[in-house]
Amino acid sequence: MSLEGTLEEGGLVDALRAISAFGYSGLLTVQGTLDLVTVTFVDGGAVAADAMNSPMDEALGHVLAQEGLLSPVQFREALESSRSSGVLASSEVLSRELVERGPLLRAVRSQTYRQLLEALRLREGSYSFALDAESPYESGVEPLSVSEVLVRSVEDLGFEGPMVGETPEIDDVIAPIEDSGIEIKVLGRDGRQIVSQDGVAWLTEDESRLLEAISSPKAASILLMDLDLDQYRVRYGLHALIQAGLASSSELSVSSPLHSGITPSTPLLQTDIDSKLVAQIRELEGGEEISFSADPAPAPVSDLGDVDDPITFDESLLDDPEPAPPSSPSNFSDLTLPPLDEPTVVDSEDSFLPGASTEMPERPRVSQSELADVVAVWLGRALALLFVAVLLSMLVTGAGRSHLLFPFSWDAEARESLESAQLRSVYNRIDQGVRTYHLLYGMYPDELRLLVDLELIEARDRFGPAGQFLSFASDAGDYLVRPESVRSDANLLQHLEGIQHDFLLNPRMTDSSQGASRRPVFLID
Amino acid sequence: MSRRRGSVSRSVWTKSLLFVIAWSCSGALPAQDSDDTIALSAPVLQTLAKLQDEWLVWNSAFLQDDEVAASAAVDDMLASAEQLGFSSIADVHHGVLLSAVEAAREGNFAKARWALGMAERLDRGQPETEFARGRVETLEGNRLAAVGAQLRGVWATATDRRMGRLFLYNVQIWLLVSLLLTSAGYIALQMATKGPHLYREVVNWLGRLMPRMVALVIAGAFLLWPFLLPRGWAWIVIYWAALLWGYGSSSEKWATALALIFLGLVPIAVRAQQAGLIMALSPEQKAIDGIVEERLYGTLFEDLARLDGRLPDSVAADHLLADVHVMLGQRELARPRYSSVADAEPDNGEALNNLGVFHLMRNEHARAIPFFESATAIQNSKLAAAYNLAQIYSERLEISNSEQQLSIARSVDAGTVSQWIAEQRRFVPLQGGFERIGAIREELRGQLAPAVLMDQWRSWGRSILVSLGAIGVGFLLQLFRSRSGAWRGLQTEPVTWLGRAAQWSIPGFISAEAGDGGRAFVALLVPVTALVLPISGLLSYRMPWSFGPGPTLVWGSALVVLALFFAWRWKYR
Repeated sequence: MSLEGTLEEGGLVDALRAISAFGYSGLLTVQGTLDLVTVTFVDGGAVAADAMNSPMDEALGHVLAQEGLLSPVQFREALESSRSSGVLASSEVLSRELVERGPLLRAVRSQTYRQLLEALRLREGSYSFALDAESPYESGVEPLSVSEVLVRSVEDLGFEGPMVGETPEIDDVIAPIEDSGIEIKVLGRDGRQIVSQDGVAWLTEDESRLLEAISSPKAASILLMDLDLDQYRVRYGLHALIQAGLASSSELSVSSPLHSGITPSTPLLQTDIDSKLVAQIRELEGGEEISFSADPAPAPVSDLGDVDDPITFDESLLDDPEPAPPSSPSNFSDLTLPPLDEPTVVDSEDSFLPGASTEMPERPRVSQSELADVVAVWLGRALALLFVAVLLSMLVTGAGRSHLLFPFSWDAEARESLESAQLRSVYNRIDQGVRTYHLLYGMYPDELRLLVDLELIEARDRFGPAGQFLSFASDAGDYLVRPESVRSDANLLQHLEGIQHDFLLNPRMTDSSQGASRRPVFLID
Repeated sequence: MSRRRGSVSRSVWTKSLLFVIAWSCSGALPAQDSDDTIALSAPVLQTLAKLQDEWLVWNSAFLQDDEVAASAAVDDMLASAEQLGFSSIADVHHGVLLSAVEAAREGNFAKARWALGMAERLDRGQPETEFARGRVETLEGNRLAAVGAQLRGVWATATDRRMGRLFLYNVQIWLLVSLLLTSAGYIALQMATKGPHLYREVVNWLGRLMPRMVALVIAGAFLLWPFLLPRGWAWIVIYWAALLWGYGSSSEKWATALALIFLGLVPIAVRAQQAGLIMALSPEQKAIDGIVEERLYGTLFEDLARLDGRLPDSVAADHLLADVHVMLGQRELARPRYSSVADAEPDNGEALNNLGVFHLMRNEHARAIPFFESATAIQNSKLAAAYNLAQIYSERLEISNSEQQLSIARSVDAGTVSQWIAEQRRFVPLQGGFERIGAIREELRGQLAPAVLMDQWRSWGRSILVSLGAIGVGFLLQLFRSRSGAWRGLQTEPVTWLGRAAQWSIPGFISAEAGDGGRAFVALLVPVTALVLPISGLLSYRMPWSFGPGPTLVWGSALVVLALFFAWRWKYR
């Protein structure tokens, strides 16, 4: 299977969308008038890129040098060595331990992105995608999603790139355009390739879900949480909907405290922002009166979606030109809203601190999706650790040792046989020690510990294969060993031995006169 | 004629000569006949009693630190054993070793050394001698020499006929457990590195049907529930392997398939060694080994009686015990057994020949001739029977018949016949029973091993089916996933000091993250194999050593391997 087309009229973007939507793996070749770029995709994400004008290895060297990870001289040595050995320069850098794996993989990702930008910069030419073909790439690189590439390309390439218009910000509010008269087709459901037609919009599955989700106006950040998509997928999906004429965007207008002269001592909380988003949505939906209360308790995030809840707004805050005294960060009296007809975008990098200080700790904005990722990572590791602990406990406690070798229920008899053989081997060892002891000291030991002290057996030989303690009892002529848990009448697992038939330990056995007295002898020779 | 043991190597001729001497010196009648031991004649009992006395003499000499007297006692004991056809005395050997170590504990290392030398004479090439020597060296402070002795002991164990078998089973268990734990560990690694993707996908899927928090919890339970199965670790491996199948690279799929196959094969392999193992641990096998290796031990005669009792209808066992009686010099006790062998196997040339020898020794020529004539007709006894027949005709002055039989014997092996004539052999007995030990072992295996162990195919089918089933389910799940196209990977991969520590310290973690299944499996296999070495004793069979190597050797070896492994990782990763 292959995708082919020309670069004109966003053909490359459509191809990238299809590759991403179907999770294709393969090699995309973009032939422009000025350059030739090849990109390797794995499961719809870009993992490597190469360009004729700027070969992959050299581009990686630039990135490493720019990030201060490796000097050009060191990289050149590694590059020459890699060319003679036929491996990737990145692999050579790793094998020489010039850069740690994590930073190197990030540098490779950065280099891939840069060369993808080169491909997106090409305006004239053609592209082709060969499914399942690939060029060498560094394993372990986090694939670049197509949506991330396209969204970032808007910022990095601007008008030089193939993307038209601006991509919505995460704080923007998206509303559907009713009765647009555009026929919607979904990739995969209605076709495997985007075919440009007037009045027809091709959407990916993500975009289709986004369109369903904005049946009423919603902030992009809420969509991000509702659909459990990352910000790039949401932003690119919304961009596609807007470009297709299916949705419109308006910026959320929350004024900066600096603009109003209010100087709270702590940054705005996510909850505060979300409350304002809801207010903005309400305003867009019907222009009802919006009011904020001075209730210090922030609304839970889960409540934000319910726009029917009454929200009160203390208008006096708008009239108060003086800065409010510092108080709890969750206190809405610390905030102010600009007039709704003068929207101002909240810049997360703006400082809320007074005066000349522009330094401010970065606000962590962990989405529910990212939180779930963190939970997933640690859950996976915790499960693995738990499993290893279960195995070790089976090994150490002894109760389940035979279950390690015979884990299935249908091997129960073989398991019993194994335990029996193991117990027999313990008895054999003890027997050897006991007889040697008797040979030297003329009697059986009182307890097995004596044999351990003499090193005739090991300490672990005092325990059976299932970890059960072995009790030992002896008299002048016999000894008995058995697992302590076994009752006296359960003689299958016990071991009774004596000196009676041991010619070295029992002098009576070799007394031939006894035998003669027991039984008459007939001389027949 | 195939009896052979360790470093004690005698020529076939010497052995044959001893067998002839045993025939010649046989006692007249048994003085004791018991069901608990094989019948022993009065001369044999007297020799055994003499051995007891000589052991006491040695003990006395040892206590008096009299090396000369002790050495003489050892000579006497070996001579007594030699009379019964044995070249070593196992239990006395163990007693001397214990005495040597005791002397070393008291600080008398010179005494310990000469005792060790005597122990070596009493039973040559035994691993326990080296282990006891290692202990003495340790007590004396010679650590390096102690390690050398222990390594020699391990080598002696591996090459010893009796212990080597059990040692081999233990090595198998060690490797199998290592493979099993590596396979399980590999799947755990997959869960640690690919599990998060699986979890997120399950959460996403469930999230369409229920609130997100509930989905998070149910997805966790979805991965955790096999822990509730009692000792169901294998099902966890199978379950996770099937779920994670689609998240791995090609090499990871191969490695996962390999892990699942090991999981199925290991129980089969352990089951396969069980029958042989039960044999190796049985007193009957110990008795056979004692006879073959000419090693006399305290309960040998009891164990031989057990063998007789275990195989009452075995012709091969009868034949062996007949030879044993001859070896002990109990000719009269051997004859009925040879008769029963000849009755059961009319073509048994060795038994027929030996019955003829029995009558020849009693000058019952007329009764001997038919046996020899029958034996002459059988190829493997033709040489000896024709020679014996020639001897009879010669004694009866039937020269032409004698020469005719001699020429028949020469036609088989002229050199051997010339040697017999040069040695003035009156008769030549044959030891056929010792050559039937393989058949006796097979009969014993059938008697000792439980029937369930012989039914291998049922277990094979189930275990392999489970492994292949897991691979099949994994493949189907992957198909389902690729169609749904739900998963696009995690967006967050937190790198913390703990994560870095895990990457460095857990072998195979980095390779598993990079999707290199083969490297991850091998990286895990090496340290797991090293770690399992010292603890494999918990799962394996105890060696019947009187002195063992102790835990230092295995722990030391394991730590050295682990140190080398992590040093290699440090240098090349």
